[in-house]
Amino acid sequence: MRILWIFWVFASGQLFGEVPDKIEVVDDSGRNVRLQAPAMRVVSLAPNLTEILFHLGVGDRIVGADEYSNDPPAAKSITRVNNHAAANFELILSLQPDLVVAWQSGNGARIIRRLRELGLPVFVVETRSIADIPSLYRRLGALVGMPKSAAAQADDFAERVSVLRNQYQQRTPVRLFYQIWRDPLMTVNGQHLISDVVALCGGRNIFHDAAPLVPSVGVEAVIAADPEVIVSSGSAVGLTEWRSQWRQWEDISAVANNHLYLIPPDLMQRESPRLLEGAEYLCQYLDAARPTVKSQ
Amino acid sequence: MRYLAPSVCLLGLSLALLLGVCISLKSGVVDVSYADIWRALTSSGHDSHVTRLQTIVFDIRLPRTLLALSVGVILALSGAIMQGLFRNPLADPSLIGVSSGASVGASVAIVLTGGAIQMSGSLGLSLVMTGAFLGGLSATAIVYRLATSEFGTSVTTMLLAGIAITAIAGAINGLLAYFASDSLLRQMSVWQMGNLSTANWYRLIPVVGVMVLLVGLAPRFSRALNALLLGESEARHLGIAVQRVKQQLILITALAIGIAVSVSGLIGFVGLVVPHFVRLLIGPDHRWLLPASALGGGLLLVVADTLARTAASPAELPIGVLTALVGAPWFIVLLIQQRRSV
Repeated sequence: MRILWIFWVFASGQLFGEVPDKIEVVDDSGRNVRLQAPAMRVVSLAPNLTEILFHLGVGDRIVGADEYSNDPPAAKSITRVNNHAAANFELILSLQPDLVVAWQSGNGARIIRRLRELGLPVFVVETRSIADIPSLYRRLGALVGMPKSAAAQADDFAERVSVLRNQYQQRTPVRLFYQIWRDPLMTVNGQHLISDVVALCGGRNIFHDAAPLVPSVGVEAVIAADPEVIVSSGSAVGLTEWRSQWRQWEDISAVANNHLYLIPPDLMQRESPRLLEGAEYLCQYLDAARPTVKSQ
Repeated sequence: MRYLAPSVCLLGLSLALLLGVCISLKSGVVDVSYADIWRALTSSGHDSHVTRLQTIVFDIRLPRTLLALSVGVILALSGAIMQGLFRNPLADPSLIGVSSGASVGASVAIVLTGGAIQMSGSLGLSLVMTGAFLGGLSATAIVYRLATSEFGTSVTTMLLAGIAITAIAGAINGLLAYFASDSLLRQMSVWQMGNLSTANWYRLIPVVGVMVLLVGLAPRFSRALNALLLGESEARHLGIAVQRVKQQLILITALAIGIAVSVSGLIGFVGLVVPHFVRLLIGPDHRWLLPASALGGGLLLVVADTLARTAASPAELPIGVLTALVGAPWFIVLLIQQRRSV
């Protein structure tokens, strides 16, 4: 019996060894993801990944998605398989996916490990800079068997980024406070993708050197750093009220010169193709504040 | 172990608290000297340097320090009262379910109103406060009902019921978080982490008010609490209206804890450890224990908050982590000393 077992393991190893892998890419956790054929049934565990798959033209291959996948509207009707806290592994298996795409910092190592233990190929994404995005398009394109159109999208993205970079990056540096949460005040440090967009537009994130990726900060620290622009992720509904809350701190240049702006959170915080739209907004806001910036 | 003279302890704690408040006002991202604080306090000129100082000292640091102080006083004093009331060293607002009831009340308020905490000004906060107070009060009332019979209140049943309530409250919080939308979820989890950074004069008023009420009323109960140390029937024979004292104390502490929790989130450890610490220093007489606990709680939270603001500057650390880090080692040292001297 035991010999049979060993033989079986050996034989199956042989079997996989002999068939050449058709597709192989490295994901953001450094692992090789191998597929025998282009993925036709994909499970997407995060809204930004769903958006990217639609953007690459394979939205119709998504058989399962997380609860927050809401863009484009067609994504809303996909079977929900996970939320922030847990994934329904049985449901995911029953959908018979040939590829799972997961978001490292959003889904967490536990869910990803379990899916791998269940024998599913998992492609893990963790985007920390804009320069990573074209490569992400290419690798996903390879996995779904559309390398050419994905490469075209990747080139297009890189082109639009370099247009912004050439236009803004060398202009007068502007100090910026990027507010992602109000109560308590929270921002991002230099490791975050948003900070990369700030640098692209010729801005300086005032909390670039803070230790946590998403630090909680006090108003005093913002006053001390004296930003020339304050940008918050939020909707236009709360704009007036958000501005009036900052008004009480007149010592801040951004407040004194009225450079307080909102960007829809989906554009900046989702790490999706719409990041470029967010970047365009941000570059314009920084540029609007440049006349008030004292040259150093 | 010999006890410290209570008056020496009270004096020492008062001085330490005063010093703590001064250091807290001086420390922060912006360099401010004591001379600067004095100038900010006294001068009324339109010098831009002075107005900037005044902004930082008055509008940012002072309300925050006072909030830390008040929340610390409320947590520690409520802890001391409950430990006396239940004649159990483990009794603590979080143990008999007041804190967790309050947190469920606040979560429900956040979810029902679709995000009260982010709402403008007074309305949102007062809704969350009301939710927290009602949650804390009803948790306490349920525990109290379960434990009270015609023969009086059973401390054991009350503590066990408190554990059950805490478990149910945890489950409700978990369920609410599980089904909440993306933005509500973030509001709830950020709020539950506990923080004092959003202190402003406006939020401070109800907390200071309820702190003053608690501090003002507590001394009236110190004799009753001392009598209760002997046992309930003994206290009754000494002429204490035991049942009424219990009801009043439960109502006041639920109110104070509810308000404190709704502004600062859950900050553990203070209510349990500070009264113990004080008892080890000066003994169990509530006439001294209550004021000393209040001072000690205020001191612990002011120190912890100063560290939270400065240790990882410009980022801030969660205050709950620091109350445990600052308070627990001292507590362990005291326990070891006590073992040696027995």
